Amino acid sequence: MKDTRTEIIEKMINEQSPNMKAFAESVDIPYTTLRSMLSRGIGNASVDNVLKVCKGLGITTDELEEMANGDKEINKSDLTAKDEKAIQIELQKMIEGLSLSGNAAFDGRTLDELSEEDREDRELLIASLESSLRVAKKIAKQKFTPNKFKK
Amino acid sequence: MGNIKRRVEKLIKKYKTNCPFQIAKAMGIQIVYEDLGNTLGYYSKHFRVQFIHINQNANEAQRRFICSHELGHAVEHPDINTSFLKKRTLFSNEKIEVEANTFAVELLLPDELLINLADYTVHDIFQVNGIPKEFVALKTMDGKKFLS
Repeated sequence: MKDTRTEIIEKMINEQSPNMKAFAESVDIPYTTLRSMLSRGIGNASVDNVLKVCKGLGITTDELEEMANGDKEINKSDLTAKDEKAIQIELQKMIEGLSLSGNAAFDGRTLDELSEEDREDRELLIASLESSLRVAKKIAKQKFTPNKFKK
Repeated sequence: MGNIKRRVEKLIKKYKTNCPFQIAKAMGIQIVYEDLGNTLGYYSKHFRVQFIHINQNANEAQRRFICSHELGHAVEHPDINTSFLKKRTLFSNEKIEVEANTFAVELLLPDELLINLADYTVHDIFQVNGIPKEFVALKTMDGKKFLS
């Protein structure tokens, strides 16, 4: 039977890479070694290889241990549907602010009055706003969630 | 405006640098480089996380000034979003923009620096630091305007 740690590793590899072989190559261990690590359990693999795999997955061995113990959620920074909704609402507010406020870049003009160039800028701004909203939400989730609600 | 100068001096003393990037980092403000078209940069705060966005096409000196300007927004009025720094609104007379520009000028040109550079002309100093020379008037020393 596979232990939890091995299962977590396998799951994370599947999420992050197109296939096992590509992942094995990216972390510079032979594919067959990776296979046997997963089938015989990660506890039986050599420390070197475990470190390589963990590094490739962007986690530390400590974090792996915490995940296996259920202290830590596997994808703790993932956004839930509720977060997405909050982001969309915030974004909508910002876009409205763009066309309203006098100090904004577009001098309070409506969309139709904008020149081609301004319209491009507006698109870029909205895209930049949306991506930064996502990053902000992730940071805020990690930073401001009280410990008692952290899994 | 005297207050802005005092706040800048406090910041420089606290973080022991006048580099806007280092101060922003120490204050926990995220700096993002993006393609923003003709916009030079802007400051925003979402979900209690502060951001400084800088146009990736700006050159080194410009970035420094943009960062200082946006840091000015972050310090002077952290909760006002959508303050955009555009090439043509840079010289706007909006209160918050003037405040941010004053902040940037005071941060990039502290008094000691100007005293050390007394041999150079003011316009050279401004140019080297990437500050548009229209802002000479915003610099104050000993409570007096630097140039009028």
